[in-house]
Amino acid sequence: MGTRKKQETQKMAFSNTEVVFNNLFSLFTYLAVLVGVIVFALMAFLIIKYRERKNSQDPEDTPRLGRIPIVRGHGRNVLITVSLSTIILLALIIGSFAAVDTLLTPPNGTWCYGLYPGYGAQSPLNQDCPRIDVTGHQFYWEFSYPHALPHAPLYTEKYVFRVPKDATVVIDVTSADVFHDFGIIPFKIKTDAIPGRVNTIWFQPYQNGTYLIQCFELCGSGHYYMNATLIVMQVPQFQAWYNST
Amino acid sequence: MSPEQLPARIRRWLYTTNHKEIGILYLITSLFFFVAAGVLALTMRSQLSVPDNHLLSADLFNQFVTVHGLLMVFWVLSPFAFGFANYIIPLQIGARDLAFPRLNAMSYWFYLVSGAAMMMSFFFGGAPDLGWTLYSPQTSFKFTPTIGLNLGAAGLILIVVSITMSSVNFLVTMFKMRAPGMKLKHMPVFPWAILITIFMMLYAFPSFLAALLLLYVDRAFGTFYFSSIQGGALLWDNVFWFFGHPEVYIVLFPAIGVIADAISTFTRRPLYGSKYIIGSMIAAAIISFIVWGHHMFVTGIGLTSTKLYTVTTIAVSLPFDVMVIAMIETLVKARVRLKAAALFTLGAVALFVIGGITGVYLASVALDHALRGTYFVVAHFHYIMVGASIMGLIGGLYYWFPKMTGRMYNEGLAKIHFIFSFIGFNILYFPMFLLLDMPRRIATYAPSTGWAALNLMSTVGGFIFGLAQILLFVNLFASLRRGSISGPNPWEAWTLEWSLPSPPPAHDFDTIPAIAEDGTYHFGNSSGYPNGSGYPNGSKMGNGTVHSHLEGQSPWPVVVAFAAFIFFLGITIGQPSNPSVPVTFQPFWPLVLDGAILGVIALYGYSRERFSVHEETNVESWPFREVPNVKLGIWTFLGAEVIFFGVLIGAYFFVRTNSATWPAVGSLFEVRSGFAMTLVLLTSSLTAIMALVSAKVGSRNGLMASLFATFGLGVAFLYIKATEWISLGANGVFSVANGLPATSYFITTGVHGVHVFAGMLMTLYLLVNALKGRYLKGDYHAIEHFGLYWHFVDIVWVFLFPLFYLI
Amino acid sequence: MNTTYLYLLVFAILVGSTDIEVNIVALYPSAPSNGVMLFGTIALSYGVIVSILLGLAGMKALLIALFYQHLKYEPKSLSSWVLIGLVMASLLMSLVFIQLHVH
Repeated sequence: MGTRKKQETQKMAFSNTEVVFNNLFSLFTYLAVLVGVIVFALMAFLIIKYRERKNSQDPEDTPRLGRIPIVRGHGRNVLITVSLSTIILLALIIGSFAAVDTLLTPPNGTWCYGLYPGYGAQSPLNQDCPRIDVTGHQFYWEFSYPHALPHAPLYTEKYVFRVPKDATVVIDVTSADVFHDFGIIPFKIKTDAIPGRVNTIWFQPYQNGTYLIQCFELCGSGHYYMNATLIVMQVPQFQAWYNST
Repeated sequence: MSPEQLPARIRRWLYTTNHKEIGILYLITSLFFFVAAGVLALTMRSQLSVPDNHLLSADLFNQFVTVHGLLMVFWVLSPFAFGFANYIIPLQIGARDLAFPRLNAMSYWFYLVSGAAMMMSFFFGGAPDLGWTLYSPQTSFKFTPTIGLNLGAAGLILIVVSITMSSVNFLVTMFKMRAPGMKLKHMPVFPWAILITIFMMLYAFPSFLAALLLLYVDRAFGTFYFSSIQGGALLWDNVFWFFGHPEVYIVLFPAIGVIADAISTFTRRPLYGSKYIIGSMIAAAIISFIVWGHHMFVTGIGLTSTKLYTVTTIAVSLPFDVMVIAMIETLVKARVRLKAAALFTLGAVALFVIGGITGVYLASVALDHALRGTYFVVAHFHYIMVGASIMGLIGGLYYWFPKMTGRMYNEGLAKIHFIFSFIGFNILYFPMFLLLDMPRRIATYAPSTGWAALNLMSTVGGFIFGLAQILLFVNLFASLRRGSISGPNPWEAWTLEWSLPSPPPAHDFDTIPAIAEDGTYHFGNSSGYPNGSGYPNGSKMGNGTVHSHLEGQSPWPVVVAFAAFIFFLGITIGQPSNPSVPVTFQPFWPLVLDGAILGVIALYGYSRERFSVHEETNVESWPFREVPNVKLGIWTFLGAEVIFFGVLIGAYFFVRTNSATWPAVGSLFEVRSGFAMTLVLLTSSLTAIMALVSAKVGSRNGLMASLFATFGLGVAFLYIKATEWISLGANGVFSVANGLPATSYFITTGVHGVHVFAGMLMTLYLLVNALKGRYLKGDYHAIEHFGLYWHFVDIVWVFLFPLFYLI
Repeated sequence: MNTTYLYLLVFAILVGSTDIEVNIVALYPSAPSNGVMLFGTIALSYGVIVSILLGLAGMKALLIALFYQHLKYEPKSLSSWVLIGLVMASLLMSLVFIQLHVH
């Protein structure tokens, strides 16, 4: 049952990165709502129950002017609080570590699948696998596709980023001028574009369509329109487009 | 009021050194900036209310975003809290003022002029427009050739100076000037929160100061610490966030202190687990220094580092957890009086819970790959900074208003204020959590994004929240004259400030209270004081006459701050050196000179002024009982200097590691000249300590000779240094603009050289006085204090020598 | 004069260790041979020399702080207070080190 449900979510999702995000975000949100509801219910209950009434009196230990109040509170309660929280937080840490390992480690074997002619579904991990360079400029994104042959000139396109469906797309992100951040909004994945540094991320698009790419770091007056369109195409169409470049 | 009175009244506020008056000045000024930054925010919310809006140009929007953030973080949150700290803490710990009243006044005036510099930036080619985080390399002159950013940096440097002076002042006060019997554990949570805040300020702000200094020299002299592609951008990220994350707690903790104490007062119960609350704050403060990397999760710093920072950041939620639970447990079997101050503080706890929980999301490196730079982040930190800090501090304003004015505010109006603030706040910020796809700091967005409805909702909430604050100002302003008389203790609270009349007299306490073993206060009454002899009445000033604080006025703090302002205007307002290819700019030298001259005069006047600070003899001063105030102040300052130089050296280390090549040992720097400079400085340390030895035994000649030798060795050091600088430049091996080896060498040794120069000015001052026969026998402290500084400068060189010449 | 003697002794150690620092540079693996070779022709690795240099610098700094700034004779509370600044600075350094060198 679990697998089928998983497959269905995958079908609904736009990319593997979105699935990773959604799963982890749900885990956080379940626990957050649980903790939040308990805390708020407790607070509201206590405030209402112990609010000042006309006939209510000060508790025995009310602090009075002229005297340091008594010290109260049990270390035991603190310990219980901390232990319970630690259990929740450990779950979150473990979940996060697993998710980030997925996000930052492209899988073996499917590396480059379908992206270029000559790299079939079964092709093994290839260190020379061509990646796509993404470069931030004030105020546009530039995408450089390598040709299949080594050292062939790059094909460069601005504003539009095309990738084949179901391929494992590995991109190297950098910047030509200032600090940008490259984010594919529906895929829930981003990385900083920093001059002098290359940051690598990968994703696997599950559905054809167009997606909004935007800059997520204030980079100047044109920051708000520094966007691009990601177009996910069927593999044959992609290869046809690619061969025409 | 007659016309003659007016200048006198103005002069009173200009020259005051009284902590309560300075506290009021802080509060009023910070509320002014609160309104200014709030207006910027509402303008931005209007711009974002509908898609494709062009109410504001993108340039103006970016300026508003930036200045709103800078103003709220630096000029509103902390100064608001320190207005209370100034006013309340001496009263709560039973001191008559801060340890260094003139320094306190100077902090305030530096704060005021720093804010003026920041606001002026709008009129000099546009205010800073790259976000309050000032990410490089956009801050370089190449990408932002505006005087406005220079001015913004000047404002930030001035406020860091202000904060550093305050930190030293409050630390010494709270450690050394508590009323007899007032142990640290007897302090309420608010002073504790301020103490811990100051601890963070002391070690976080030097990092920011170093970063700003490097930024300034990059812009003025064309060096490229931050604009180099050898790690420049990440260098800024590191030094900024090493400061920036503790800064988040710096603006939060004072509010937690207010909240905790107000909750205890209005629930009529002792705070549950107050020692655990304080312990948690200390733990969070320490951890806050090792979590900064979570602001850099997607910069590509490496999986190990990001996982490490995920763990530390998630761990930092545990102490906050303890604080919140303790506050809630306080409510059990309580008698909750829902006055406005209680509503605001309890409301702040609720909003803090939401802000804290969503902070855990952002602590996860995996979720950050989606949430970084989105409105989710904006929502999270506004729940902390507005929800917890501002709401808590407004609670504090209602709480202490009767104490400060002697009048009661209108309770009904205040409750309406709370209801509109609380509801408006949530309508304003909760939708932003749902806008977790929308990039922050964008001037407008397309209709196709589907972000319009939530943005409109947020804007409506913003106006409800913003307009509700008018109720606060109307209420407080009207109550100043018309409010009912509050009496000394309207809330039946236990802390010491409520034992005084409202408002307290200028000298605060007629007699300093003492706290007996059983925790009771005694005012000038001998019974019950622990050592049996009874609490001496000698805590009255002089011959039993009550000290009048109005005498303690000084014109110099405001003049020093004004001189610094002129100086910084001079070095920041100027022309690009080459308008067609903007790389550097020329300072406006006449103003620099004016400021420097005025500053020297003012500092001289300051040091010559007879301003005696009465030190109580019988105070609680654990753990620094045997350390004099000034010495503790100097060591505290040197502690901050350690971080400052640590960051400079760290920056050198950082760019060097990121550079593929670096000149080999001996190829750029003559090991010989470095060796010579080291020997000269080491010898000068010996002469400085000999000066102290001579002063102690009363040998005027020995003192003069040693001081003179120290001065001469300082000259020799700077002479060799200058020769080296000139020869390096003349050889064309490098200029300042010629690469990172040059940049890091010139800046680091340059800053050290400035420290040597400052030390030489001190020796000159000491020499002049020694000539008049001062400092002999028991009067040696000035020599000792100078020595502490001078040896520290020597220690810095001990590290710089191998780092630059031998490695 | 007991203290004067002590200060002179500290000074001698400071100068002596500076001398070691200057000479140890000649032991870099590819150092030009015009330097004075303290230990004949032994070449130490770069990392070892850097550690020795920083260790010597730390020792000198400690001597100055303990004797010239007389922290040795101050109450423990003050020296611990000063130590906090150092701990903070070293935390900064070590985390940056991890960032730069561990991936």
